[in-house]
Amino acid sequence: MKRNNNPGFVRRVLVNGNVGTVLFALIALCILWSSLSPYFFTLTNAKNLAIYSAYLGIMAFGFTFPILTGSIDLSQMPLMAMSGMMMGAFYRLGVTGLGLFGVASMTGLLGGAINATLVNVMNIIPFIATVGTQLIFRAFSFLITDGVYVTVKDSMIRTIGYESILGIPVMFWIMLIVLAICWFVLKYTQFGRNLYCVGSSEQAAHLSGINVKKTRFIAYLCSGLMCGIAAVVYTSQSGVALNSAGTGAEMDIVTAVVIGGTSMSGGRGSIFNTFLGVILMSVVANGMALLGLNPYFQMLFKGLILVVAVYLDTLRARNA
Amino acid sequence: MEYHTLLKLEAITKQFPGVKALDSVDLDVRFGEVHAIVGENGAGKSTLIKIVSGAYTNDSGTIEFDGEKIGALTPHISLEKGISVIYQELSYLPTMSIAENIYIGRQHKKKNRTVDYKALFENSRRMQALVGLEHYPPSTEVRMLSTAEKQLIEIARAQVRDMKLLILDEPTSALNEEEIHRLFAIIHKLRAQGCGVIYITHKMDEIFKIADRVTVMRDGRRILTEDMANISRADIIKAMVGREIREFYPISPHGVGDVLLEIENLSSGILKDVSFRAHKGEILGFYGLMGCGSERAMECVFGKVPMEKGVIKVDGKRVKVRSPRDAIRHKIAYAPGERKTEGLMLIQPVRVNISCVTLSKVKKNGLLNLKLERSMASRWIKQLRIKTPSPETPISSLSGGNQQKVVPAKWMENKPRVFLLNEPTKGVDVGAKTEIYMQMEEICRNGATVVFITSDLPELLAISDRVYVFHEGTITGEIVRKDLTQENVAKKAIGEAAHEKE
Repeated sequence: MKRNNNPGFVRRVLVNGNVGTVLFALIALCILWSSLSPYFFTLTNAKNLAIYSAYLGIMAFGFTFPILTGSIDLSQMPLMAMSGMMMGAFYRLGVTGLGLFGVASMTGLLGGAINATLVNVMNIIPFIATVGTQLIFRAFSFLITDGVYVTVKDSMIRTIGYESILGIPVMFWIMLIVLAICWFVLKYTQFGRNLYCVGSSEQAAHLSGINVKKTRFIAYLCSGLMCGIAAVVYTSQSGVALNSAGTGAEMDIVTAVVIGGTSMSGGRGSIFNTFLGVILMSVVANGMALLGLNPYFQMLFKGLILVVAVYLDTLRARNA
Repeated sequence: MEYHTLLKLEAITKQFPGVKALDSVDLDVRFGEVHAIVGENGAGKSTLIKIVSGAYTNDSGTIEFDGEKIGALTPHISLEKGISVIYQELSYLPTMSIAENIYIGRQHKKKNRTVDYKALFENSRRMQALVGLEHYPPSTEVRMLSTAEKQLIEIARAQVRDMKLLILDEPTSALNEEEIHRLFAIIHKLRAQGCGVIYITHKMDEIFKIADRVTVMRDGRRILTEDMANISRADIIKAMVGREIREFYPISPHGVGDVLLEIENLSSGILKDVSFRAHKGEILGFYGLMGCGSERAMECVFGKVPMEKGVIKVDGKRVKVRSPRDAIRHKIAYAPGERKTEGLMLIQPVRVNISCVTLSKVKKNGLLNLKLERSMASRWIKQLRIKTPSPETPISSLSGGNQQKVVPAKWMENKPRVFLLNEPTKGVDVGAKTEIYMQMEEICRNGATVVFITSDLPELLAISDRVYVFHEGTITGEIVRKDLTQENVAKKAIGEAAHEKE
């Protein structure tokens, strides 16, 4: 039926937002960057890309959960910073290795639970609630260590930060594992399915016997947990737990997820959409850095991409 | 000519990608006539009125209004010429006053450019009187009014704009008998003033009550236009569906078994101490005017709204229903009135919509088995003849009638014992209605019970084994099939029987 009404090429490519579209944009961008910079297609830069996309990707996967239910979690970057600082604080107390990983994850989960409570129990609209916690988490990430950063000289952290397996950085492997788990959860578990149902119509989902509140609560927990995992990865990049981690990059996650084709209004999208969006955003950022673009212009372009991504999303919603 | 033509459409054609919505349609509406347009869903009625209101532009054909040839109508020109459309979805500003709603876009200003409320309210009172709403102060917020009254506000607003042609799209779908009566009186008054009225409806009774002429449409074409005096009900139905439908209500009286569902002393919101029961194999009808509580009773049984007091028993055993989840566990199903928002997840594929209630059935080792799920969906698509390219097609790209069929599909997989249906045939065309009735009977034959709410009296009388009539939160009558008459039901619905007893 759809084949009869043949929408124009531009409309089809831009609006439908399928995986092919994003891939197309990605390839076009790669060609552009490599024509502008001889460094783009080097092994070193590929590693840079992998490192950059690792923590962003993990958080973006987490972000996909609440967004699929039609909610949003804008507190991720500060929550990652807070989880990192907790990790730093516990490192000072002598915790090492997997213990640090546990501390970061628990902090992330706690942050997620706070967001979920605000949205679910107190019925505050998700946007405002998580902008509020964005400030609160950021404040705590400074308060935890009185505003000083913590150098973490842990062997696990060093392994994640500097080692490679089969030529691919460990942190990228971690992202791939998280990707696989998230993909599996969304596709093959009842919880994953419930996310899509709740995002399509809360009322219909509720009347079909789906526990809407529980679904959304767990979605926020997932988002928080990913911040904790991302904190480990981020900290291991430099070996330092930074209070200001992710400052100014808060919206990069939103841009990546939405440009990948996951709908802001819920019910539509996938982890692969998010993955492609993350790679696309990483390539954008990487290319701009390689070209030595003025940081204010970088900010400008990121802003433009966010606006365009959300605009395309509204077009898609109107089309459906 | 004896009659003066107000609106004349000639050979109007409108093509959408892939469909010819209107195929050379002629229509003429005279001054001072009520012209009914009937047709099944997708016959082209809405497209036609959208062309008259200027929302769509016709591809070819001519439009003449009030003796003047008009190239193409835009919403603006249409309003200016005196054409007003009142859609099913009313448009009003809920938190603004009656006066402001009636005179929206028409300003009453004093010299100092502030609003002249005195003049506004005075004018508003005059317009309110025309539609029988004079008992409200003009400053009343419109959200306080009933649906019927909001509709009257829209008519008043149209009259402010020197309306010559009023188009009503299914105006009675949310009204009760009394309100319909009042609306008809106003339509009669407008007609006497020389206003032309286009009346779009599904309800056969209404056409005969209100219309002077009728136009039947089918598949984007006009089939016939006839004076009401020269046409019978059967002729109209035949023209609508293109074949003769003998068995309009295919339900035969059937055997009724033991009590299956019992509700005792239910109180919730408007409902006060309501008790009722339903038997195995029974089709039980709920009837009542807007806000009578029948819908609330149904929602309590399904756990959609909380009960303040009361007991629900299934098979004589007391069950606790605190949420739809509980209800589903006790094999209670509910097809809500608002299908698009409450019944279906429009952007999800047919497969997901069908399996969402019984997802645990397609789980293996705690994980979803998509192959099993697809075959479950395919089975229902086949059984209920849902027209869809594949189980993976999003519901939103199905036609209305096919979307409708997905709702029972998702419930029937759960083998419900009690099936609650809220207005199952509202906005459904004749052919599809018959199919729904047959489904209801099928459910009953399997020993379940069907409880349904309807505002369509002929339907209630034709298919119910037993009827409970609700009035202001209580049950005023229980009527078995042999005593079911229009009069009986209507009387109890306005609470007369209850007064007699006292």
